[in-house]
Amino acid sequence: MSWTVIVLIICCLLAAFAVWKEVGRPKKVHLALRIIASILAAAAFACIILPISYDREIYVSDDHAAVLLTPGFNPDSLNNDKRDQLFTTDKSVQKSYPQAKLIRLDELNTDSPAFSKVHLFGYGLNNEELTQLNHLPVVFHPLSVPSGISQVNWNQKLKSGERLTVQGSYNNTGSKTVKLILRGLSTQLDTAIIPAKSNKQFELTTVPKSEGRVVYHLLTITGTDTLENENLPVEIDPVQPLKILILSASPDFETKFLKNWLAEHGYEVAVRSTISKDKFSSEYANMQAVKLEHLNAGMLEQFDVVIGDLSVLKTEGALKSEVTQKGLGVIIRADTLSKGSSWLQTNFPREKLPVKNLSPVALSIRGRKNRSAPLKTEQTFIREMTATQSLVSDAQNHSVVSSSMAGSGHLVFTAVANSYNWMLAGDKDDYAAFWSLLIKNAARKVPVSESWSVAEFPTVSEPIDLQLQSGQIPGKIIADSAVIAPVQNPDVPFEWSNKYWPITTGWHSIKQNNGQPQWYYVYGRYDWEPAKAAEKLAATRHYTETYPANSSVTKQIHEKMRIEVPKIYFYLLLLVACVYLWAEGKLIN
Amino acid sequence: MAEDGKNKVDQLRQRYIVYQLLADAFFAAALAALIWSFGYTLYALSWIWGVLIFLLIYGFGLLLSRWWEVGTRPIITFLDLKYPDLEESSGLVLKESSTLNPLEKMQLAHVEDILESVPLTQKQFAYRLRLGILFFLVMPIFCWEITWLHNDWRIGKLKQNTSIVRSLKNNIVEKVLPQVNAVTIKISPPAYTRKAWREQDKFTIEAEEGSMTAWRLSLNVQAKTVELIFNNGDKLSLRKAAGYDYEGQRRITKSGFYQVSIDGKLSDLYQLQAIKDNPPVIHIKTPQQYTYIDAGEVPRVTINAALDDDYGIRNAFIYTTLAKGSGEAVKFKEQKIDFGASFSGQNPHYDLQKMISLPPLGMQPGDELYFYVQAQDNYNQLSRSDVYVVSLQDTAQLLSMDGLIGGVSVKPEFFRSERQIILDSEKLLRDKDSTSKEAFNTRSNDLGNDQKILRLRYGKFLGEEAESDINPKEEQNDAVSDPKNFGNAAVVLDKYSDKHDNAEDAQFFDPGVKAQLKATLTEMWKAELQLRLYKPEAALPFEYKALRLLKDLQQKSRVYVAKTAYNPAPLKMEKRLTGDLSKIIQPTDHQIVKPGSDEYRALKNAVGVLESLRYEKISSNVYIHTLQLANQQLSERASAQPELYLAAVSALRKIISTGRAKKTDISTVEKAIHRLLPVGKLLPSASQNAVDMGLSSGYYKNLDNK
Repeated sequence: MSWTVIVLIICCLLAAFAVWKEVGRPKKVHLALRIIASILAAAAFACIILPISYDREIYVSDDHAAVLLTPGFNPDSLNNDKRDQLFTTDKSVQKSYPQAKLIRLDELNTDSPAFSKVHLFGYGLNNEELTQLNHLPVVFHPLSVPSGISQVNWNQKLKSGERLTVQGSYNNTGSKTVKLILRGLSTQLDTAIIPAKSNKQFELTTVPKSEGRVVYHLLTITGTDTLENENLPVEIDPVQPLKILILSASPDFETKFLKNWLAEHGYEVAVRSTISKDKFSSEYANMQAVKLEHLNAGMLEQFDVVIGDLSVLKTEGALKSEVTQKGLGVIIRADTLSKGSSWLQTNFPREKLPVKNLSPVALSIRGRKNRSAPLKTEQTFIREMTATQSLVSDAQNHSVVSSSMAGSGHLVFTAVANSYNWMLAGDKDDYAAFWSLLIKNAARKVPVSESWSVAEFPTVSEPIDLQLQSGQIPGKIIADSAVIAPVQNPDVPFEWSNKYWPITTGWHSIKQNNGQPQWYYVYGRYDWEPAKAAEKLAATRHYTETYPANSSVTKQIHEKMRIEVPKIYFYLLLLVACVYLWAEGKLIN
Repeated sequence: MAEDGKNKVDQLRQRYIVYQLLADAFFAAALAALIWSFGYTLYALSWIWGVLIFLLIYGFGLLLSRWWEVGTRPIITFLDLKYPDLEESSGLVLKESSTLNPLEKMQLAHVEDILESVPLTQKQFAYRLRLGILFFLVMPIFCWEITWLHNDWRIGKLKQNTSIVRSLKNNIVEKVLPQVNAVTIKISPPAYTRKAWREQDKFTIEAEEGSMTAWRLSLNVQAKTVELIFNNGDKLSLRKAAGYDYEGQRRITKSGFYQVSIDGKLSDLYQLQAIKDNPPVIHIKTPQQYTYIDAGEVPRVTINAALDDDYGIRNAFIYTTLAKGSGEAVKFKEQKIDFGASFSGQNPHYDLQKMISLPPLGMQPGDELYFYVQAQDNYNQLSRSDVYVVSLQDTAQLLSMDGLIGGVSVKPEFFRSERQIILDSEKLLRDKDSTSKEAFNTRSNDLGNDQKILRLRYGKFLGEEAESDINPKEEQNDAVSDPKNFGNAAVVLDKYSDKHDNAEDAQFFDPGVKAQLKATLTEMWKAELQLRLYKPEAALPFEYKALRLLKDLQQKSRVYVAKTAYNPAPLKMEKRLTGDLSKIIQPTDHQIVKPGSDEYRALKNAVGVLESLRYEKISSNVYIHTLQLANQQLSERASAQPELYLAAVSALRKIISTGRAKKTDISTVEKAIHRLLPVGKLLPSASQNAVDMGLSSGYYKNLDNK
């Protein structure tokens, strides 16, 4: 209010000053006109600064509907009688169909009589645009999903050595087979074939060789034509070594090989093997020696994973609270001696197969495509329980490694006691895959103070929502080089949303003051078009379900609408007044 | 007047001779073209040879036909024949006018009038010429057929090799310094390759290892220093030859790359590929790796080997080692055997065959022969094959009774029988000359019978039906036919029910023994067949095999325990069973494994920089430094394998020097980096906790408190 008053006072003073100057002028030929012009100029100036609006009553009639055209619409699908109310928000649509009027979405709500519903043709609108419709009921005339990659997903963040898997579905409406090619570092890495006239799912995988931020490419080719060349941004982080404690009931090869393999890759490993009653042999790799005879909570807190024989782990009292409260992971190796009902083994009842074929079996390790090299296992398997998840199993789906949750920690139970045979046979990849899976599933989660998430397909020149999860109130948030202000989620207090409009494609970063920068990839306008169209279709369908057009009472019959007067009129008025004052002075002379 | 007629005849003669010479020329040209096209396809002769052949044939043809010796007489005769108006008197024009009589003079005047009208071009003269032209025109079809369609005739390896090299190099587009007008590189392969020197006008070199390579650069300006820089270091300065030409030479011993430097201006990188001479490859087709010659078989081996080398094989030998005796008394005798083939041609491929008769080597039953083939190529590189083993069956041990007398004998009579059959067969063979054919056949048949009886006896062990079961009529005391047993179901059942299952169950042989027994029976069957066919010599190998299998069976039933000596340390009785562990120390081991620095770090970093280069120009020096480090690594690789990495090195250099990059350059470098980088190792890692202001930990705490 005070702003309006200040502006009014200044403008009145300005007008008074101008009138006084006019009156004081020696030439008084057109004095009255000049005074009017001066006052008009001051008034126009005030109107430019102040918002001027007026109220209008809007009538709603049920049959008054707008037609909104979005990209991909088919002109033949329009009925002639709707032609006078055609709108679009897309320039390319207007170009191809000039009858449509180019508008902003919010203008749909200001027309009088008000539209009772909107007929939407084409692929529809995205979530951001749908919110601008302001609950206006929509009748959607959707298109079928366009030809191309209609859905896609891949692990955008992975650790080095992990497999990049691109999955999705391809809608091939053409009459030729389509070849999908995954390319990275200008090298063809994997391909899939989609037969003609089919909607098929595909999976392309590769193990990335480089580190850091890389863009892989997904090409779709028919014959010699490239239909799509899409970017697959991937961020590959180096692996952070963990701290691992191994407790073994006796010195054995399994422990020795595991310790050597972990130590070789920079992991901090402590090994305690029982050699006699109350006598232990201790080994330390890449870490300071600590007393391991009696384990207490403080000592266990230093480690991320404890690997041990069941008979040893059962005797460690400090273990349980550390696992359930602090999230320590435990990998339990079943030694044949143990029977009982310890908390470590209740979830993992074991069975011995009656058959006496001790032939080596190939194990399928979760997350790996191929079966491992054959390994001679003891014929004991872990029965599936409701709360367990099988990690490694044989061809008959007998689980040999299983995991379950224990409070905030994880238990992994393994019946494989001779995985070192893989190492001896030279199958290092199998060994690495096996133990990586086990340790990864068990390891204590790394505490973080902030985490960022970005909506799917951030597109250039469109607003994108960057979600920050942070325990503390975030400091200054810098996207690229601009400072943006976060909005706190009123329901989830640690969630902060940030809006940003990127203006270039490629990698962008966002970080909060003294935090780690988060990188995200901004796609071009025409990247992933079929997938975006499919997304729009889904979003618009969801919107039409929420605000259906046939609901009887959506708006009052009479509605008062506050409408702002466009500023351009006041600019013109100011210009005319000023021009008159200037020209009059010149012409009189 | 007479002169005119004579002139006319002379003109006709000249015309005739010219036509014939032209016809000869066409014939010779066609023939020469044919011969040259053969020569070109087979031996790659140059076109100069074609010209030479033409001249030779033409000259020879001329010498044979001597057209210039054709006089006017045949022309006159021809005219008389063709033009009846001449009235057989055209010869008058040749006569001296002074010698003519008045009548002849009149006739001459008449003849000359007619001769005046005779045309110079005579159809008959051109007959051979037309034929020649036709021949000449048809010939190109044949030549084309030979030169283009019969590429497979090109046995001349030299020609083939150079043509391949040429085509390969023509594919590479080289960027040459503007100062260089032309380059001539002469590559002289080492003598042992027996390849001729060759020249090329491209910088990319593909040469046999050890080739002497001479560069000759023609520049278009005067230069102070012209150098070749090899693999980023080693320099060869070219000396001035004549004018703006510079030359120098060097022996190529390893692959890599080089560039030309003219007054400090560096050219693109050129590939330098050394083709290594591989040692000879030996492939032995026969015999098998392990050959066992049974007694009775012909004691000889035929060695069939194929040798291959890049350029030529100098020699090849068979090295044999004969092992005699057994246990500690084993003796070895080595021998080198010639293949008996001549290697004077030093061809790149030899198919060799050698039959080795074993007795002349001193090989007796029970001995083993080890042999391998060793070949040497003309670069003195040796290679040898695997060792092959040939062993002769030891009949002496097989026939010995040692094992049977030892007391473990289970069924001595069976073994003796097979042995007896062998001895009898051998005796029969020895007596073959002294006995009649009938007696020989009878004895052979009897032996066959013995063999059969033996086989049936062994068959019982396997539960096979006895001969009597097959033909029940032969049985003497048939219980069923006995009237006393009429209506006795048990007897009838016993007679007609199949009970051999029980017989099998009654055996306590394990399946392995049973299988071997069955194999023995098969051998016995075969031996019997040959004996029945009166061929005891053919039966012998089977008999021996049967005996060997039986002997093996016998050995299987034995156990051997070696005597060992072990003196345990004396026990301290006072410490026994006390459970005192106080003096046992707890071992600790402490180690720091320094993870090796990632040798591919520079390349991995470069990937990110290349990625950003797709959008923008290099701005910071850090990026350039990263690329330079990557370039160093790539150059090292390129010096080892220029064909794979050289293009990437030059592309990366271009990027570093200009600061901006073309898409193709980036992709070349990226491809090379992808080829170089190893697949990432899978290692365990921890996932991240959700940021939730302690919400979940509070949940777990309360879960425990319930």
